[in-house]
Amino acid sequence: MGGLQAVPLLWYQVLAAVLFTIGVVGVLVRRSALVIFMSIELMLNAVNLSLIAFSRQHGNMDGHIIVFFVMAVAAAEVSVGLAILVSIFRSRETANVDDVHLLKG
Amino acid sequence: MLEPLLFAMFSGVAVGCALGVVFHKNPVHCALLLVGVMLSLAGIFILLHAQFVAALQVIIYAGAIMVLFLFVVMLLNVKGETPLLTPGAAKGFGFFFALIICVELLWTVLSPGGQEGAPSEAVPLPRDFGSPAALGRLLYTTWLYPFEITSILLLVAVVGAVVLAKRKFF
Amino acid sequence: MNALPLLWAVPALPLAGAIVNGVLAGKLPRRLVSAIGTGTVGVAFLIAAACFLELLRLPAGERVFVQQLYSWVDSGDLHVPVRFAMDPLSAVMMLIVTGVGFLIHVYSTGYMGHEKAYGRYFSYLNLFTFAMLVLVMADNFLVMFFGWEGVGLCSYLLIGFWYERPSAAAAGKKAFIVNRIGDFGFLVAMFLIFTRFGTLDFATVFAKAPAAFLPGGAVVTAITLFLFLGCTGKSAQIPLYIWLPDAMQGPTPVSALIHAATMVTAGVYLVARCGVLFALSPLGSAVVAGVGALTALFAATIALKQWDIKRVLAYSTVSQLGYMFVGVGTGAYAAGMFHLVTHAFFKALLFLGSGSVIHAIHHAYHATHTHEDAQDMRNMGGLARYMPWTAALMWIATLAIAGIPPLSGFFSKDEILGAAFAEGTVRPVWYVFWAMGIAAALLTAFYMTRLMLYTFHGPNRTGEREREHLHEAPPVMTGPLVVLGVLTVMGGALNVPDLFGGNAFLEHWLEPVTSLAQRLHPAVEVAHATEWALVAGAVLIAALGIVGAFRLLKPEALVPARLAPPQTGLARFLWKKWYVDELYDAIIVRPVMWLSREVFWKIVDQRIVDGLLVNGTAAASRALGWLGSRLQTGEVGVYVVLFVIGVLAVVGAVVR
Repeated sequence: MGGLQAVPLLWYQVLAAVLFTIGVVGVLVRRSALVIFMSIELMLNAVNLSLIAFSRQHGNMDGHIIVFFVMAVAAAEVSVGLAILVSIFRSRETANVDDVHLLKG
Repeated sequence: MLEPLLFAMFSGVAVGCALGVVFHKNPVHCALLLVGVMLSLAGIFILLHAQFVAALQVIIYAGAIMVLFLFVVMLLNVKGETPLLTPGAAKGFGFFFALIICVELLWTVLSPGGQEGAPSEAVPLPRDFGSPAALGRLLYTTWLYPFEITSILLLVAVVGAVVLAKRKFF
Repeated sequence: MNALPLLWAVPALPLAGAIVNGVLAGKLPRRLVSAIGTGTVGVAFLIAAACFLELLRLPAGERVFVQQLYSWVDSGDLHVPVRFAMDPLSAVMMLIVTGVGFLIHVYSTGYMGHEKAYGRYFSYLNLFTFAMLVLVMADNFLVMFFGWEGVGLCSYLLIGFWYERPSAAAAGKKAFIVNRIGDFGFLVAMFLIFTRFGTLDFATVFAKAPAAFLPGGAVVTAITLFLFLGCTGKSAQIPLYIWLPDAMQGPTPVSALIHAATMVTAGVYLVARCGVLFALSPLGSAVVAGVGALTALFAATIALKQWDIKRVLAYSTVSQLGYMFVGVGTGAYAAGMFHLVTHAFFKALLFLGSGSVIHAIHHAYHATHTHEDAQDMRNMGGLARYMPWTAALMWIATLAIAGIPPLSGFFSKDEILGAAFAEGTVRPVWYVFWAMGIAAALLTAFYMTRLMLYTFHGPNRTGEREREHLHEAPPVMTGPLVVLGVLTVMGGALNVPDLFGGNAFLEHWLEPVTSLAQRLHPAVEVAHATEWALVAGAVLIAALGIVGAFRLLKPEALVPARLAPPQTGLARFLWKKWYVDELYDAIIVRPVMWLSREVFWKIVDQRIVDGLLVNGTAAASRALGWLGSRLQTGEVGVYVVLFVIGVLAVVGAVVR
C-alpha cells in the first residue's frame, strides 16, 4: 500500500477523541454497572487507536508495545472488576450504581 | 482511493456501534455492539500497518474480554434499568463534562502546539513494521521489565478474581 | 592568708542554709536549725570582715576585688557574667547585712522559739540574706536586679509568714505588687542603659557615662528617674511607700532586718552606686532629694498619731529613708551611706526592742487568756519597771534617732542636713529640702519620745492580772540589743567630720567609688561658722522635740485600746495616714479590678479567647470536616464525575 497521505493521520486522532468522548458519556450517564464498565473498555480502545496512529506517524513500534500492555492490563482489570460486580450483585440483586451507596460518608 | 473509503467505513461503524453501546437498554445488545466497535477498530489498525496488534485486538479483546463480559451479563441475568440514564442534574453534568473533554482532546491534537514534534507525513517505514517479529524483538529487549511485571499482574488478577467470586470465604 | 578568694562563700553560705533548712525543716531538731540558720550568716560575716581587712591593706586606689563565678547570659551583644565585686561601697553593705543580720538571726531564735514553722522561718531569712548579698555584691545591673527581685520575693514570703491570717497574706501581696511597679522602673532604666552602652557592667557604664551623656540631657535624666522609681518601690518613698506599714504583719525580727536595716536600704545603695549617673542629671538628683525630703516630713506626720508601736517605727523608717535619699540626692554619698549604717544600728535596736516588748505583753495576755492587741501602745505603759534593759537600750536608740550628740545618729543626720543647706546656696530649692528635713527632725524627736513615754513610762495599762507576767526578755534576745546599743553609741566614730577634728573615715573609704561622681558634681563648701550654726540649730530642734513631748503628752490620760474613744479631726486624718491608701484604692485598685473583670475576663478571655479562638477553631474544623464529608456520597456516579473533573484539570495543565 502506498503512503497514507490520502488519510491524514489527524483524522485517526479525531476518531479516537470522539470514541473517547462517547465512552466518557457512557461512564457519566448510564446507571448500569455493566454498561459503565463497557464504556470504560470503549475508552481504552480509543486510546489504543490513538497510540497506534502515533506509532505509525513516528515510524516507531513503541506504540504497539504500549497497546500490547494496555490489552494485557485491561484483561486483568476486567476479570477482577467483573468478579467484584458479581459479588455485589449476588448480595444485592441490583446492578444499578445508584443503589450501592453504603460507603456514604 | 481505497484508504479513505475503508477509513470512512470502519470509522462510521465504530462510532455508530459506540453510540449504541452507550444508549441501548439491553446490556447484551451493548456488549455485542462493543464487539462491533472492536472489530472495526481492528480494521483500522490494519490500515495503520499494525497487523499483529489488529490480530491481538480480535483475539484478546473481542474474543476473550468481551466473551467474559457476555458470560457475566447472562449469568446475572441483568435486565435493562429504568430509567436508562441517570436522572436529573447529573445527566446534564455528564454531557457537559464529556463535551469539555472532547474539546480539550481535539484542541490538544489539532492545535499548532500539538503538531510540534510530529514528523512531516510519510516517514519511511521499516520493512517489518507491525510484524510479530519486530514486536517480539522490542518486547524481549527494551520492554522486558514491564513484560515481566505484567505477567505478575495477570497472576494477581487471576488470584483476585477467584477469591472475589467465591460464594463463601473458607 | 588572703580571704578575698572566699568572696563567693559570703552569699553561698546563707543560700546553703536556706536550702538545708527549707528542705529538712520538719525533720531536724530545733537547735540544729538555729545553728544552721545563725551559723551560716555568722561565718559569712567573719569572711566578709576578713575580706574587709584585706581591702584595708591595699592602697586606696586598688581596693577592688572581682570574682567571676560563671557566664550567665551570653546572647548576641548581651554578656552578663555572675560576677561579684568587693569595693569600698559593697564592703560597707556586706558588713551591715551579715553583721546586723547575724544579730537578728540570734534574736529570732528567742523570739520565734515557740513558732511551729521554725525551720521555714530560718530558711526564708537565710534566703533573704543570700539575695541581699547578691544585690550588694553584684558587678552589673542584671545580677543586682536578680538580688533586687530576690529580696522582694523573700519580703513577700516573710511578711506573709503567718499566711493563715488574711491580713498577713494581703500585706505580703501588697508589698510584692507595689514593689513590682518599682521594678518596672528599674527594668526600663536597664534597657536604656543597655541601649546606650551595649553593656550592663557597672565599671564600664560608669567610666563611659561622662562622655556618653550630655549633662542634664534627656536620656540620662530618664535613666535616673526610672532608677529612682525602682528605689521608691524598694525603699518605700512617695508614692510607693504604702507597703511598708502593712509589712508590720510579719514577725518583728523580719521588720528589723528587712524593713529597717537591709532591704529598704537597697534603693539608697543603688543611688550611691550609680552616683555618676545622678551627678550627670541635676533634675534627677533634685527629684531624689526632693522626694526624700517630702517623704521624710510626710511620714513623720503620720507617725505622730499611730498607736501600734510597730507602725510608728515603720513610718519612722520611711522618714529616715527619706533623709538618706536627701543625702545621696545632694551628692553627699558618704553622708547618705553613713546614715544608712547608723540607721541600721538604731532602727534594728528599736524594732528588736519593740519585739521584746510585744513578746512580753503577748506572753502576759497568753497567760491570762485575753485577746487584746499586744502591739497597741495604749495597752502598754510603765514597762521600764519590768524591762529595764530593753527600756534603757531603746532610750539610747531614741536619742540617736533624734540626733542628740554624741550618738551616731547625730553625726549622720547632721551631715546630710549640712550638705543640703550647702547645696541650697547654689540651688535655692535645696533650702526647701533642708527646711523639710529640719521640720521632720523636730517631729522625729517628738514622736519617738511619745513612743517611749507611752510604752515605758507612766502607769501600766496592760491589766491587773497580766502585770505579774510581764518580765524582761531572755538573754538571747537582749544580747543582740546590747551589741546594737554599743554600735549605736560608738557608730559616730565611723565618720566624724573634720569640723569636729575627726578623720572622716567613711568618706575617705568611699572615695574610690564616689570620686567620679564628686568630680562631676562637686560638693559645695560653706563656712565653718555656718556649719557650727547648723549643728547647733539641729541639736536645739531635737531637744525641743523631746522636751515638747514630755510637756505636751500625758501618758496618764490614756486608756487601754479596747476602751479608747475613736479619733476625730486632724488626729483622725493623721492616724488614717492622710487617707492615701483609700485614695489609691479609689483611683487605681478599683479601676484595675473593674477593667480586669469586665473587660479582660468577660470579654477578652471568655468571648474572644474561649469563644472565638478556641471554640471557633473547633467549630471551623467541624464545618470543614462536614464540607469534606459532603463529597463522600457513596455514589459511584458522583465519584466518577470527580474523576473526570480531575482528568480535565490534569489534561488542561499539560496542554498549556
